[in-house]
Amino acid sequence: MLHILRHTPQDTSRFASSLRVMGPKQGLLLIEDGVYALLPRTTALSALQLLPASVRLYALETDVIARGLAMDDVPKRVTLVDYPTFVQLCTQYDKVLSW
Amino acid sequence: MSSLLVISRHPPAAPAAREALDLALAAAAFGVPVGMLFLDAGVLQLLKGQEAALIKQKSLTANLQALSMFDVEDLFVCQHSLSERGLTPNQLLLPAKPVEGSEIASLLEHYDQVVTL
Amino acid sequence: MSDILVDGEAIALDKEGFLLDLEDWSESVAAALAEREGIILTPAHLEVIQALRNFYQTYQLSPAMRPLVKYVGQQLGKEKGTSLYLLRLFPGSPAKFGAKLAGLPKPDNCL
Repeated sequence: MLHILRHTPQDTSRFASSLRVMGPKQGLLLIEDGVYALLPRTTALSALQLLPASVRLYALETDVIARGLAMDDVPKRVTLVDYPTFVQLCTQYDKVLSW
Repeated sequence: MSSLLVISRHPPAAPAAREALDLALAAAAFGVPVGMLFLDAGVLQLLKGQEAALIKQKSLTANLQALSMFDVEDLFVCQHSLSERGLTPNQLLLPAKPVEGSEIASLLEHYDQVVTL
Repeated sequence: MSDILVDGEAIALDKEGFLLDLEDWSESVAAALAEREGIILTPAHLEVIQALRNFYQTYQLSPAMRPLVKYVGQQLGKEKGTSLYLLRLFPGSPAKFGAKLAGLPKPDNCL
């Protein structure tokens, strides 16, 4: 299953809840305002880092750049993806859950 | 027929709470095996003793009680979300099963389709 | 939109023949609505119509077919809680047709 998060992690419980129910083999894709989870020195980012290594993390590159987030700050385990890859991920996982 | 889990995570007065319920009822009316998970503020929908008419709203409580008539019996409520709000299962109007994070992870795998509202 | 005349009073209907004001319902209104559809109400019809009204009272929604069958089975007896029985009384779509005669809003989730 691929979780897609599109709201700021700081303002809603979506982020916390999605992490709480994340299974070990699942993926998390940050799009739109969800990419603010990558802001350095935030509890959101720490929470992402604490996910088991088997959870794959992705972020939509366009949304990261559009919001002025420094690419250098994006942790190595986060794969930046373009739109075609976004689509590919949605088909690659058996289910998609939007938060 | 593939199964559907509806995750309802908004308080009862929010339009999304009714939309989640409508989705569950509509799917069940067409014979889809449906489960519902109340998560985050969605657990507040299940509080007993609501009087929605006082704020000029239709009673979500009444509609929620119709779930069993639609054969939607697999009801789950997030234990963490309950605790966060100081609630216990005996304050709820439906017999929803309290589940922890890891159990929710299994539910997400178990159902063929999962929708959050 | 159209009206029907029941006991000298004009009752407003929507274009599908459902009551515009649910408060207008009475057994005579139900009989008049049934007549428009070419059906004479019997006690068997009326007890299902009453069950539909009770369902709406309790759950504040008009039942689709499955919940209607289940509810009628619980309230009026198992032998009546079948789609065949309800289809015989309310040909076509019992949930929709029944709701119309019971003065309820059109069910949302109905074929």
